[in-house]
Amino acid sequence: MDETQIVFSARDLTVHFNLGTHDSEGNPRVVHAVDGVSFDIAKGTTLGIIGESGCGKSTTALAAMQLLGNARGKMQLSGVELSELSKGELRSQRKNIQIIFQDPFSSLNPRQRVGSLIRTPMDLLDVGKPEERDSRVDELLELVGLRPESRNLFPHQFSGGQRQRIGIARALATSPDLIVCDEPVSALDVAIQAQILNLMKDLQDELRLTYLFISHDMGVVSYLCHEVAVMYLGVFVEQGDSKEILKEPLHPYTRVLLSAIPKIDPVNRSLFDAQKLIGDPPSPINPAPGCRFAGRCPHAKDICRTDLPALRPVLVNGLQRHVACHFAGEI
Amino acid sequence: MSDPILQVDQLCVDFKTKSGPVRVLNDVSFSLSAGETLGIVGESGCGKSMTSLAVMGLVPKPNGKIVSGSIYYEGEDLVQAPEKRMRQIRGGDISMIFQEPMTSLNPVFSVGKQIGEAVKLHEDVSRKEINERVIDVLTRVGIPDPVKRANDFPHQMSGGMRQRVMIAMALVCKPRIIIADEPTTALDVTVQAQILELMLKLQEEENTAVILISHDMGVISQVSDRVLVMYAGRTIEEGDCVSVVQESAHPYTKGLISCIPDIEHTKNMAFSDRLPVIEGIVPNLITIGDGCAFAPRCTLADDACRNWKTGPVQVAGTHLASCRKIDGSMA
Repeated sequence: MDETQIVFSARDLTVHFNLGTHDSEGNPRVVHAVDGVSFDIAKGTTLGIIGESGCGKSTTALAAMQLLGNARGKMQLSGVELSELSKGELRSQRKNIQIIFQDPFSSLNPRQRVGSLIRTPMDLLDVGKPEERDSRVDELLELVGLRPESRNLFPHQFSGGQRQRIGIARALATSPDLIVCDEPVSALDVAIQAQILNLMKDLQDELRLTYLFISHDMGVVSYLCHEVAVMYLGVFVEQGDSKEILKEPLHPYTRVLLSAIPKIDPVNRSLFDAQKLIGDPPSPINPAPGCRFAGRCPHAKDICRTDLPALRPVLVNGLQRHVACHFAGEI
Repeated sequence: MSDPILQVDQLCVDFKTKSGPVRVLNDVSFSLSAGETLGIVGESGCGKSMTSLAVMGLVPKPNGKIVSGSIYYEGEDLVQAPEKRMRQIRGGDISMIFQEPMTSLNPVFSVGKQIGEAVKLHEDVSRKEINERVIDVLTRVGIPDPVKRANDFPHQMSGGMRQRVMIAMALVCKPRIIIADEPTTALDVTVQAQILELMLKLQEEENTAVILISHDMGVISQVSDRVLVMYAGRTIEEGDCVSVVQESAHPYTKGLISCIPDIEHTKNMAFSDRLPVIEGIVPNLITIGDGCAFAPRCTLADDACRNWKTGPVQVAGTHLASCRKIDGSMA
């Protein structure tokens, strides 16, 4: 990655929420939503963060959007150190990070016309000349596959897939460096999902967009993302090329996660041969020391219960990836 | 296979709307034998949930109405059955598992009380016996420490646990048929695998027939014996699971399966590859008219398809699809 330009990088990103209560030993109860994650996203590429509910993937997205006051760690956007900016300076950076939300029904104001919805970010963040903004709206609508006349309609006059296209046009309005996508296709039917995923890929090729893509669906992530980070209880457990991880997962959690996905193969019903996780993920409130996955891991040894493994490089098929497991490559 | 215990024939359901009656189920026919799992798959609004509500006699009144067709359960037509008889059947002979374990459980009663209620309604047994049945069924669905957990309220349980309670509630009266409407859609994949395995195990023990409704082709292909594909209120393909999934005959089924980013498929895709998509959106049921409902989006369709009176065409054996283009249906 020598000649690639890093658009966004995070170092030791940590988000803790203090619940304001105490456990039986008098220690404050703190939700470790994100516990020291680091990543870089190169221009024109997509990083996917995948994990189950409550693993901290959406919190990571919100922290990257600079919407959480209690996020610690360093974040850089196109070389600008975001944590050192004043409120006003940060606001001037906001046009460079935009978001596509999960639910295209609740994320569009039902009383605003589509043209106004897409124009608003340009007006608020002062992007482009005011007299050119309307023609920019038309341009954006065409870009996402809607007719320019759609600008006079209201969101309820569109289907779910079309509404998500409007959401994408709005995110593109300020020509951001980074687009954070928080489960943008999980509320859509599969046929529409494929249309939106293809649109996102086409736009990326055309405009060299950079995405941070949050999802719980490994199929979607491996289709859209160059790199993937698998998250479990606030930490990344495996990070690297998405197709390589899919072909040969190294972390025990990644393996369980992949084997639990029902494959479209009625002859080999592998879902029920796969190793199962027992129970639910442990609570992210004051997690025990050691590997976060140790309590449910079939390979856990003593060291796993005392030392939290750091992400370390492992070479697989000539490609480097990072795995946070004491026994990566051995099990 | 043995005689069907449920036989649905040419079921039509209409809804009154401001713009006139809308046919939400159009000529739906299928049968179900003891011990069999029938998967019903389709996109939002295709009528899969309405089919299950019709079987349960729960078509929303007064706007919805079964206008023609029959639903035979062990020789008895449920369409004609009086409400009093339907109350015996619901929860006793045929029971249902809903999608949202949070909203379908009552938050102010303990789960034990809610499960016991079904027994109290359907059988003349003592309170002590009810208690034993509740503990027994909670044990069977894999809830640890069932005696204590029976007194828990829904909010004290995780999503997976709540879905186990829903299954316990459906099973407690030993029904002949269970209708599971998207039972794992709200769950994470690792929990989903646990719940699906549990459902299949319990089904085998009692030789229960299961109708599994899902939008997830992966889930359907991993657990069903036979599959019914629905589109715009009609069944467009039906047959054993392997034929329908691997040798789909209807262009919609083919399109639906190929547009899914299945991990077995995506891991070998090049980054520049695109998923094939079904162009367009599902038709408006008000203006759909006769003829093949899929014709406007179908790449194979010609004028004759738009006027073709749809009906099942034999593909092979028990594999049926309603497409004019299938050999033998050109007459």
